Amino acid sequence: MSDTPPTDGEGDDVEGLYRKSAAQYPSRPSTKVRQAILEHSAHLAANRRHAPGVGRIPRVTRSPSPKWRRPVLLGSLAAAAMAGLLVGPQFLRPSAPPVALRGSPTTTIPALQLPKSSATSASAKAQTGESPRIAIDLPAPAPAPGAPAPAMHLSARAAAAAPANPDQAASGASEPTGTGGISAAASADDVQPTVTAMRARQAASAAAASIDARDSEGRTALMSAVLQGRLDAVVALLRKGADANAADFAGVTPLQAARAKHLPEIADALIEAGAR
Amino acid sequence: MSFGLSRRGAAIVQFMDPVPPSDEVLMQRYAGGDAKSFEALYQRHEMRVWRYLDRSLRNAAMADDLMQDVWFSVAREAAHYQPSARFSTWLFTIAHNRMVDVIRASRPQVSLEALGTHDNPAVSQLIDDPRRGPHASAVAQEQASALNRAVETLPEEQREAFLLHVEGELTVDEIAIITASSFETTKSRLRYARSKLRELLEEYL
Repeated sequence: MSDTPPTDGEGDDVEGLYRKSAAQYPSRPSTKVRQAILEHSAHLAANRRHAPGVGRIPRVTRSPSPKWRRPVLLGSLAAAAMAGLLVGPQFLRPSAPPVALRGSPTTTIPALQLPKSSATSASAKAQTGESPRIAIDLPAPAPAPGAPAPAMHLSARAAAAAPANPDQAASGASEPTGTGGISAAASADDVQPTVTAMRARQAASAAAASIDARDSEGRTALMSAVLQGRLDAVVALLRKGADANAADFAGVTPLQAARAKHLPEIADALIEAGAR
Repeated sequence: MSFGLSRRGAAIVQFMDPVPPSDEVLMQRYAGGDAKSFEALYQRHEMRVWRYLDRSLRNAAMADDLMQDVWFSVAREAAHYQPSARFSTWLFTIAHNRMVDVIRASRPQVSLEALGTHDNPAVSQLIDDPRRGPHASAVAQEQASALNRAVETLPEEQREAFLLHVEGELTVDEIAIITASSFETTKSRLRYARSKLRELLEEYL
């Protein structure tokens, strides 16, 4: 928005005369009105004072530090340091050795349990004296009948955590290693309903939001659509019951905005919807 | 921070503070419950709003009602006031919108379009408002009277734009938005208004 003053140099004299003569204006608002205004404003101010938090502007002041602040801060820092010492080593342990590639597309993962089909080859290799590594042939084997396919990829560790097969336990490959940070409890079956529920909640909250909700400047969606010149959006919002006269905090109505922006079609649509 | 000033010195510094609080600061203080801030705001803008309403409506009784309505709105909406917008813009937007509502409601009785000429009986009735009182013969008052008459002769839309500019100190953009007109239209209304006033007030310029 331009702040160009309307004066083009020609109107300064007229406006100067106007301002000079303003003090001589012959009439004033009546005393009764003046008194009513000031009494009403004082009444509202008293209400605001007695209703903390309502219309009150938070004052930014630096209060003197209370005596308990220093020990609380030091205690918090000490607790954070202790927590760091306890949790940190979990992340500082040496990471798994790099993936060993063989002639065939085979990946080596240390101490990883596998479903039955892969575990048999792993136990055979363990018997030959190799390190306790389990080789997984890629691509992954076809899932067992009835088992959901994504779960095989997402929950390899989850499968390892549940020693369903006694052969795996016997091969010594089922010992929990404790390495890595991913929880074994998260399987695809657990994740899927959670995501679905979250989306459902989001959809429900979006539907519950008012069509006349306002932004920080008091503009409704209808006002924003008008300002962007979106006739289709304006029509859709009006059909959904948006308030055609919802003015923003500056008091500008959608119809005023449409006219100011030279949008006659939008203005007509607003007028049809009862805009004033 | 006291900067080592004594209590008396601090009081003197406070007394000498030359910068009065801005409208926006006063409005925020009032929103926090400070009634004195509202009084200061009212004192500062009372006559500007009054002249705008009275000159536009040319009826002191209607202007009185509207004056009360506008300032009641200001007091009521103080909590929602956004300091990003200039207070005077916000104030005169409220005043304009209330006035448009009143004009629409009373259009069958008092049409501002028809008030553009003194030949209309309704105009004479409104201009003969007893609260305006007789104009004194002093030069300043004569000049003020001539100006008042000149402003009254302006067409409604030109007068509206001119008053919003000189009383509300609104920019062309702001006037265009408030009056739902384009920038160019508003600018030309202002130009025509000034041109006509210059013509009518030539002897005083």
